[in-house]
This record gives sequence, structure tokens and C-alpha cells, in this order.
Amino acid sequence: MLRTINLKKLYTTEEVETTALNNVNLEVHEGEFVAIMGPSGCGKSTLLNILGLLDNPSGGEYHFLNHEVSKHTERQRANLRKSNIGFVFQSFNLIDELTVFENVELPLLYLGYSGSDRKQRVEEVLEQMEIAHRRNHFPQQLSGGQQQRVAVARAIIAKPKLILADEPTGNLDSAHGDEVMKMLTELNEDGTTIIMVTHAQMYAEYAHRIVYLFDGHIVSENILKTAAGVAAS
Amino acid sequence: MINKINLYINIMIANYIKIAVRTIIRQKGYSAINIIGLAVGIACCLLIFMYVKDEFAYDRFHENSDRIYRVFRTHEASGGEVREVARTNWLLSDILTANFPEIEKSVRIARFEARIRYNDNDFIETNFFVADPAIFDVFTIRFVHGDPATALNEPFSVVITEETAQRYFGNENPIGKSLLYDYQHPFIVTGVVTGFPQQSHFHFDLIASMESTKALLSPVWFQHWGNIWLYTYVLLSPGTDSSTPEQQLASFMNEHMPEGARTVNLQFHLQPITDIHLRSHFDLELQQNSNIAYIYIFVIIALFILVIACFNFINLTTARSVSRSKEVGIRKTIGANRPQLIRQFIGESIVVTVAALIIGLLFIELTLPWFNDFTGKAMSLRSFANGIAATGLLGIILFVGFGAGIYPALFLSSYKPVDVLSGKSSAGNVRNHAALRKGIVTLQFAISIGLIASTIIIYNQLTYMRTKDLGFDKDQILIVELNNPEARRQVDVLKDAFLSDASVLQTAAASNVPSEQLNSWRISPISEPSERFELINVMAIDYDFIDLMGIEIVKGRNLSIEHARDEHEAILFNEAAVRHFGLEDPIGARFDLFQGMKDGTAVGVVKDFNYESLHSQIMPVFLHIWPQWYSQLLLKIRPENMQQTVQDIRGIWHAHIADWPFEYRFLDEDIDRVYRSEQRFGQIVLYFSILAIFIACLGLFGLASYSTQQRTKEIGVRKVLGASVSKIVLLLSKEFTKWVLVANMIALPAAYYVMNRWLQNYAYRIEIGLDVFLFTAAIAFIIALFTVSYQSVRAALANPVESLRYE
Repeated sequence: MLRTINLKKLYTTEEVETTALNNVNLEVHEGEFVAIMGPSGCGKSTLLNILGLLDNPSGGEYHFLNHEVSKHTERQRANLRKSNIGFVFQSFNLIDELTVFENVELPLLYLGYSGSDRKQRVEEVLEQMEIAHRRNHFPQQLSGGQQQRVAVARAIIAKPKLILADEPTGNLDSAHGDEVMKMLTELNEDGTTIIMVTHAQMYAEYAHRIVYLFDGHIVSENILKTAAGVAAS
Repeated sequence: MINKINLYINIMIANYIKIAVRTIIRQKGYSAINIIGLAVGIACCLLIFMYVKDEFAYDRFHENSDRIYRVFRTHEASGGEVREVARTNWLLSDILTANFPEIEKSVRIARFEARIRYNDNDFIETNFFVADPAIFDVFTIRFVHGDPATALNEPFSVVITEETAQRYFGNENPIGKSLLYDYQHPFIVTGVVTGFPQQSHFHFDLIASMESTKALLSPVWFQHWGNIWLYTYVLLSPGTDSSTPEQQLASFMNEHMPEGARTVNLQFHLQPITDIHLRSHFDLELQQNSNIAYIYIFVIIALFILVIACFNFINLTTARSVSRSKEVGIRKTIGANRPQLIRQFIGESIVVTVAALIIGLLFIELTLPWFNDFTGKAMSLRSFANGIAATGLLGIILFVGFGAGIYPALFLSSYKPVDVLSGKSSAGNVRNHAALRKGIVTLQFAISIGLIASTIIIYNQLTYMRTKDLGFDKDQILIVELNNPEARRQVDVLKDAFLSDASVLQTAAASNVPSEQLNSWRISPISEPSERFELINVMAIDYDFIDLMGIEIVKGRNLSIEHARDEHEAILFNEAAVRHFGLEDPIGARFDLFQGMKDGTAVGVVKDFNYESLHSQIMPVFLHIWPQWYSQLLLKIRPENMQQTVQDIRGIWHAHIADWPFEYRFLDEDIDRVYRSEQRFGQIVLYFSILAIFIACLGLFGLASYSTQQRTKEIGVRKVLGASVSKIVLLLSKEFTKWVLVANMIALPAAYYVMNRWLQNYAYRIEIGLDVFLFTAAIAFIIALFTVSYQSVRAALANPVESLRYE
């Protein structure tokens, strides 16, 4: 599905140059569930942004679905991104001015789906995420767990091959956190590849594999023997 | 496929509008500032546009408006000054039609003040005109009853407007009815017409046949070239260039002009009728005209206001961009491309503009009656209910929507999702644009400051004109019209009778009062007989005039009844006349007045007084006793109980003059009337300046609140470290102060330059002092500080924990 070869990312301000990623080599296969862990500032989010085609690396190669994309323009990346990748964020990142329904619908609008197709698909996903009864509410009227379910619904609405989750449980209590992890696991079981950044070991253990990042390097990879992991392998 | 694309576009537009409306509702404060600012801007702009359109519409309702010209004359007055006069003499019109084939028609009109009696009801008609029958060929006048071809052919026929007909006859048929003019001449109504619309440089209520004047006026009115009492209009043949007849007229006049006319270099010129309202400021205009300079100034103000309002929008939207950055990031992440986002933000700006336009139209609807009342116009929003105006409004929406929306759209859509979503707010980005925002606020304030300074200068000049020592005392002077031969015969009796009232302090008679146009006579010094006569202003006064008016005698003595010969030959003149004739010893100088009609000897010199408006320098004037010319009595009355005094005087009048109405006015009001259009102009500039400043302050307020919000954390940290509230307020206000300072430096020199040029219109004007600019700068600082301090004080008083938790 995706592979990085000696991936590098440098941030330069006027005086300081910071290396966020240094020679990262990572391969993720279709259907995998990978967790990325590491302390604050280790480069987790940077890696996720590059994998999610939101940013370009400073060096190295990135192969995504058989494309070498490290030199792609924003427009090219956007085209690959909008039909192949769904995002889930720690802070949900819903648009406050739109209702639940409209937030979930948005990716389909940008993909040019017709009105009836959109309505049908959104209803399906809202049912699947058990949030259909809240379809006309605005994000601020929902609890954190509900908001994250809406975000997940939005991430999967276009049936992406890959979901990138950046600390999806970070703003939730444990009950809601468990709920979100269960949803991600189910999606993975249905064949969606998932890469998740997390701080919490207990949520990382839902994955098949945990990649540890430290100061921009991958320091270790653990294959887990969870039920899900066994099933996948 | 195309259908699908259309559908897609429609869906996206619906989505943009939805987002726009919800954003507006959610961000109430900012939206209100944005929309109200823009609405006020659009309303001002449209109002001024309507006003300007109305001003340009003057005299265009005539079907042949592009071929109608007014003939005006120029002559050299004392000191070589060229005077332009709107009136012409009787003979001119016939010469024009007889000798110039390009002139298709020519019409003479004149306005009289008429006393009309019908069925024992008396009316004073100030818009009673006499005209040649050709008036209906030259001007477009619609007949309701009667025949334009014959209506004014006979002497003592009169055509009246529908309103006039209603006033006299109610619902009776007016045709054939008889109106008694000056209680002795019956005029027969031969036609009823529709009066001119408001956009005309003159308005009539009645038009009598020109033939009638032969019986009313003495023969001299129909002979002399200097006897100017008519307005001559010509209709040129289609395709004629007006300069052709003008040149021909010049050479014709060179050959045929009488000697007297030649000595003052009398010339005639053609003026398009459509130029009269905005560009004509001659002597003896039919009614006070407007000024094209005002139009330019209003248009500039309108554009300034719109620019300020658009700047507000740009500023607030970019300032607020941080709060929108998350949305941009999300949209980009899930697949929006930049053009789509640009369209979205422009769409929002257009929605805001539409909302502003609707509110703006509402503002206009609410203020229009007042504005109409104030400008004397009859404008209506209904004039927008046509295709062209609708297109214009659409144009405004697109222009303002795009103009104000394009920059924020480009700016907002440039956010990178990876920056804005990872919590690193795009502080760098915002800071880059801070310079632009400061520039915009500075420019807005510069415009506002320029307008404040200009308004103050205009007001100072107007106040100066109102309060300047005119060289005479204009207060508490009641003018009684000697509107009939009987009253003119009884001047002395009336004066004594009025004086018997305790409230009347002094009385005097005169041919004219200051602010009126004076007659001019051909005057030359007898000591040095000259071939060349000069036209010098002359006033007929009586012995009491100088005392009553409080005019100072600087040399010699006043006219006095003690000196038996004064009645026949004494003259007074002003200092300007002394300078003009270069008299070293003016007392005793002798003059030939009006080519031997009268000889005069100077007995005194009066201090220069402003008998004309302050636009022009004081010209030489001769004052002498000449009872035939007395046309009004001046009564100096006590300031107390003026209404009662007027009632008493009216009683005295009627006790002596049985039939004729009592007509009076106040001198100070007459003089104020001369400056009315300036007063109105000053007020309009004042109101629109206030609005411009209001909009600029809205923007500043919004920006201050944003800027304060940005610095919440800094404020918290400073307070934790021990900064006092006043230190914080100072810190937050300092920045804005700097901008206002820069704005002052841009605006004040510009205002000085422009206003100095405006002041050149006035012969008597103020000097623009430093105090105006210091005052303006102070006002700008106070307004800016006041606007900003609300935010800074609030931020400074907040609990530091609040601001730190914000992060």
C-alpha cells in the first residue's frame, strides 16, 4: 500500500534548522492496522502528515499506491488524497457552521456526487456510526465521543483505502475512547488500512503492529498478537 | 455532462451560501460591523449617486434640450472687470431671428412679481412670467387645455399651470376666465399647461403674452441696449454648432452696436440650457443655481466612503482569518482545491454585500424624506425600479463583493492544512499581513482625517461669512416692499406713520438693500471728460439710510435735509470708488451721472460695505437721493416681540394703503439666503464625513478587538509578572496611536491643498491656520483612543488566569 525510503523532513526557521524525520523506512500493507507511538516532538504527526499527503518530505521517497509522490504538487496530492485517504483528528476538526449531516457530506460534495447519492451514502454511514439521530445538530451540541463518531463517519464516507488517525482518543474519556477504537477495529476488519498515532499503550495494542518513533527515527517495531493481529496475518 | 456540471455548481453555490449565512450568524459581532459598515457605505454612495444623477438631469426634459441655448451678455464694469449677466435687452431677440438662419426660434421671457385678484381673492405671484408665443416651440410645455399656436398671441392673454388653475378656480374650467393684474389690467386665461418638473432652472406659475408688456411698461424698456430685463433663449437648427452663431453675432454686433454699448465692450454668448443649473453663476440668474464643484466633491466623498467600507471588510476578514483557518484546513484535507475555496470566500463576500445592500436600501428609504427636504429634491427609490438601475445595483454587488472579497479569499485559501490543523496557528502568515492591515487602517484614518479637516475649514468659512462685519448692521431690519404707486408716492407719510409705533426705532427708503443686484449707471468725472463711460453701481437712498444701516462715514458728511441742494446733486460713494477714480481729494468731486441726466457732487465717503456677496470684492458704488427709485422701506425695529411688531406695522400699512397687500422680509434672512447653497453643501459634507468616520471607527474597533484577542496570552503573562492595568492599556493603545499619527501626516497636507483651492472662490476668506490641523489631529486621536480603549481596558481588567487558560 505504501512505502517510504529514507524519508526526511527538515523544518527551517530564520535561524534554526530542526530535523523532524530522519531516514524513516516504513512499509504498510493493505489491510494492516499500524500504531505509531513515541514521546512528544518525536515526529509522529509529521510522519502522519506526509503519509496522508498533506505535506511533502524534504528528502527520500514515498510510494503511495504505486505512485512516487514525494515530489507531487499540492494539486496532485489533493486528487490522490480525496478519494483514497480519510482523516480522524484528536480535536475532531468538524466545521462548526455545518450540521452533522453536512459535515459528513462534505467530502462527497468535493468528489462531485449527485444529491441523491450523497443523501443515501450519508444516511448509511450515520447509521453505521450510530449517530443518525443527531444528523441535524451542530458539532457544539454533541459530546466529544459523538463528535469523534461524526469525524470517523466523515473519514469513511468516500470509502477510502487508508484512514489516518492522529490521536483519535486523545480528547476522550476511556469509555468513549474504547468506543472509537472498536469502530476503527471494525473498519479494519472490513479491509480498510489504518495508521494511528497515539500516546496510549492500551489503544496502541488494538493494532497489529506498533512503530516506535524517537527523535525522528524509527527505533523499534512490535508485532502484536492481538486477536485482530492474528486474524490479519 | 454539462447538466451534471451545472448541477454540481449549483450544489456548491447553495453550500457556499449556507456556510456564509451561518458564519454571519455565528460571528454576530464581526458580521454586524462588517455589514453595517458596508451598508452605510453603500447607502451613502447610492444617495450621493441619486443626488448627482438628479443634478445632471436639469433641463433635459425639453425635447430639444441639446439645441436650446440661453443668450447671455458680458460687459466691462469699473476696473476692467468683466461681468457676465444672464439678462438681455428687448431688441436682441428680433435681431437674432432676422439675421441668423442657424437660429430657428428665439424667445424672450421675463419674470414679474404680480398681484393678481380674482373674485376678491388676492394672490402675490412671484413666478409670473411674460413670454413670446415661441416659448412653446423652444421649451417643451404640455397643454392640458388651449392651443399652443395661439395661446399667447394676443395682449393680456395668460397661460397657467394646473396647480395655479386649481388654486384660483378649483374645479371650474379656467379657459376664458379673467384675472386682474395689479388691480387694473384684466388677463384672459387662454391655456392650462403642466408646470416644469423640479429639475428646471426656472419655474413658472403663469405665463402672460409678451405683447401685454407694451401696455404695461414705458417705451424706454423696448429701446435701450442697457435696459436688460429679459432672458433670451434660442433654438438652433439641428446640426448647428453653437460657436457659429456666436461668432457671427460678435461681428454683427461690431457693426450694428450703438456707441454706448461699444464703450463697455458689450458682447453676447450662447450657453447650453443644460449647463445652466451646474455651471452658470451670472448676475441676475432666474434662480440660484447649483455648482459643478459640489458635484465633484460629493462624488469623491462617495467613493471615499465606499473605499473605507470595503477596506473594513478586507481588514476584518483577514484579521479573522485565524478563526477560519481550521475550516480551510479541514476542507483542503478532505479534498477541496484552492479555486473552490476562493469561490467559497468570494461567495461569502457577495452574500455579505447583498445583505449590506438590502440594509443600505432600507437606510436610504428611511432617510430619503429628510434628505429630500434638506436638498429640496423629490428623489425616490422607485427610480431604481428599472432595468438599468437593477443592472447598476447588480454591478455594485459584484464590484463590492469581488473588490472586498478577492484579497481575503486569496489569503484564506492559501493556508496549508498541515500548518493550521497541527495546532501551529499560522502566526507567521498573520503577522505578514499585519503590515497590510495597518496600512489599510492608516489609509482609512487618513481619509477620515482629511474629511474632518475639510469640514472644519468649510464651517469656519461659512461662519466667517455669517459673522463677518459687513460694514453695516443687518439685524432687526424689516424691509417693507413699496409694491404700488400709491405707497411710493406716500413714502414720507408711511415713514412717519411707522415711526409712531414704539417698536420702530428708525425708518429709511432705498432702491435696493444689500444682497440685491444693484443697477449700474454710466458715470464719468466732469473734471476729466472722457469718451469712455463706465458702468458703476448706484443705489438710491434717502437721508436716513446711512444712519439706519450703521454705515460709517470716513470723510466728509452724510446726506442731510439741512443742505437744500443735497436732494438734487449730493452724492456719497465708497472707498472703492475713491480708489477707482484715483481721487486725492474726493470731497467736492463732480460727476456726470447717466449721460447728463444728473450732475452730482461728492459730499462724503462711506467706508466700504459688502453690498454684494462675499464671493466678490467690494466694487465702487454711488449713493444719492432719487425718490422715483425707492422700492422699499427699511424699518429698524426692537428685538422684543417681533411678531407683534410685524402685526402692528401691517395695521399701519393697511390704514394708509387700502388695496395693496403688505409684503415684508428681514434683511438678515435675505443675506443668509445668498449663502444657502453653501450652507447646504457644508452640511452635506459634514454628515457624510461623520458617516465616513463612523465606518472607519467600526473597522478600527473590530481590528482592536482582534488584535487584543491575539495578545491575550501576552497580557496574561505581563499581568502575572506584575504589570498594572494602566500599563497594559497604554501598551495596547500605543500601536494604534502610531497609525493615527501617520494618517495625520498624510491627510493634513492634502486637506490643506484642496481646501485652499476651494477658498479661492471667495474674495473674503479665512486663512487656514495651524489650529485647524491641531484640532483635527486631536479629534482623530481621541476618537481612535476611545474606540480602541474599550477593548484594551476590558483585556487589561480581565483575570490573568482567564487569558492564560485560553492557550
